[in-house]
Amino acid sequence: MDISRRSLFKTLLQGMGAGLLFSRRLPPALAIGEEPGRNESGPLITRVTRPLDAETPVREFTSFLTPNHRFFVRSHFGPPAPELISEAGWKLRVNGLVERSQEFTLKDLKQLEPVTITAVVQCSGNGRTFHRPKVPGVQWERGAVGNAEWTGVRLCDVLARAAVKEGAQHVQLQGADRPVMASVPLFTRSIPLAKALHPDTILAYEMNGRPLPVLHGAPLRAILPGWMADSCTKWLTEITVQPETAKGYYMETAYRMPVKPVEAGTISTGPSTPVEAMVVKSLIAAPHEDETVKVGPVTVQGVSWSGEATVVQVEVSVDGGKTWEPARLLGEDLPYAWRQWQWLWKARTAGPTTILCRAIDSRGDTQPAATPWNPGGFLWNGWDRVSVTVVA
Amino acid sequence: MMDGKCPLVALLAICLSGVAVVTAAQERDLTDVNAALARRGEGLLVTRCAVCHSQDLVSQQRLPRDRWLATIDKMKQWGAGISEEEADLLVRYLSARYHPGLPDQPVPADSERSQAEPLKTEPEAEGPVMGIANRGACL
Repeated sequence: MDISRRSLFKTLLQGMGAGLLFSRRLPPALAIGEEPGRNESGPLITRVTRPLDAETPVREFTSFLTPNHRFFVRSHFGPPAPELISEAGWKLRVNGLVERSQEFTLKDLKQLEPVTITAVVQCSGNGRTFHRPKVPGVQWERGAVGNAEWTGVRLCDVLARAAVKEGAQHVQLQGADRPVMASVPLFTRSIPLAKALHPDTILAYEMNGRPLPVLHGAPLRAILPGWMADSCTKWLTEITVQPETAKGYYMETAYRMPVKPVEAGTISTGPSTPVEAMVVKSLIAAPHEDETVKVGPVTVQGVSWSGEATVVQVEVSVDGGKTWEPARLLGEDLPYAWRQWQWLWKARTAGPTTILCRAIDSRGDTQPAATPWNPGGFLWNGWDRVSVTVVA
Repeated sequence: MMDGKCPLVALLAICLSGVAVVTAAQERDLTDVNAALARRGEGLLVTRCAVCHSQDLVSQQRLPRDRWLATIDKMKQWGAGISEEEADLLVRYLSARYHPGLPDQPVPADSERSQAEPLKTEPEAEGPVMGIANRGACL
């Protein structure tokens, strides 16, 4: 891990020269590529040009931490106007069911005890494109996920300053981003009070040891380790403590999963719950899709994680899932980070081969061959697969 | 000087030509996208939809007609300035063009834009009905 971190910091330092915020020559949106969805060699693969949705090429996941300029970007409306998020103009308001409504500047927040947590952040729609029948929405493939070191303050410390009143049940998070037209619903989310008060739920102002980049929510975003990224509000400006779940499209309609399985392709009208924790998942980072490998030893490697459990095993199959071999888990088992894994494949037969992987977590949950269909196309965690050609 | 009724007549003519396109498309079982419909559809995407999002969000979808209808309805509710006739045309165009049978690989946005026809206030001859190879996938 030390080596991968050293190389990461080297990459970060190199990257900062043409960094996210300050370079006019290489702003990320332009560096990403001119052909949306086609550029597999740039730092990110653009899915939607505006507002920017872009995913990380999975080959980047051979490193433990995902560099900031390669970390996936999901935007509902894109970054707010500069004056709303500049350190001078930005404030975090805490109000609602609290004894003392508060306003914090970034400097105020930095007076509180800092915390650093390594955590996976993943878009709920990551893998949506694999659902059949197709589901509307950004057609994410495998890379709307990343693992970063987040530094900030505990949300519970901020709420303690304001003193939460009795009757509080939910905490609404609002960012400064705004739609082009005022008639479009705001991206307003809320989380249960218990998750808000969890000591690992933080408000982050740094990402991988650098100030949070604009595309990732500068100056402050919520990080809810173990939960999907739709609760990790970017450009956070307002926290409202409430007796119930927030209203609005993004809590009442979107980012919800049916309670009972629904028939594929139907519009669900039954009860549903908000997307919360991540499900067990693993990805193959190397070899990559369409790579040619030689007969002999081939290192297959990747990452694995689970929302509120620990990955206990990753298995690989090169015979279409008939037999599975255990991979070696590398490094430490950190509660919210992903775990790297490796498997030595003795490739014997020339020709096309599909490599599959699946993870199993401490609750016994196993990655299924395919995730049950749901109307939002959320929480895809089907076996990951990479097709390679073996040559003599 | 043109009298004030001209724009109304023009609008009516556009609507009628739209109806003609529907019928033609239905008769051909939507196997091909009418070239004029494609130009007008792309024009509407540029004019009405790209206010909030780029067209690649649209062109990566692979949806049946009822889902396109629901999507356009949602956008209208959210304030997209789409008339009834435009909504109808968009649903017909999008469900013929970006249907579940189309391959996954998104079409590069630039070639899409080259198809766009600016919104017009007067009708024009639509020319011969042409099929588009692979239902537009290789434009």
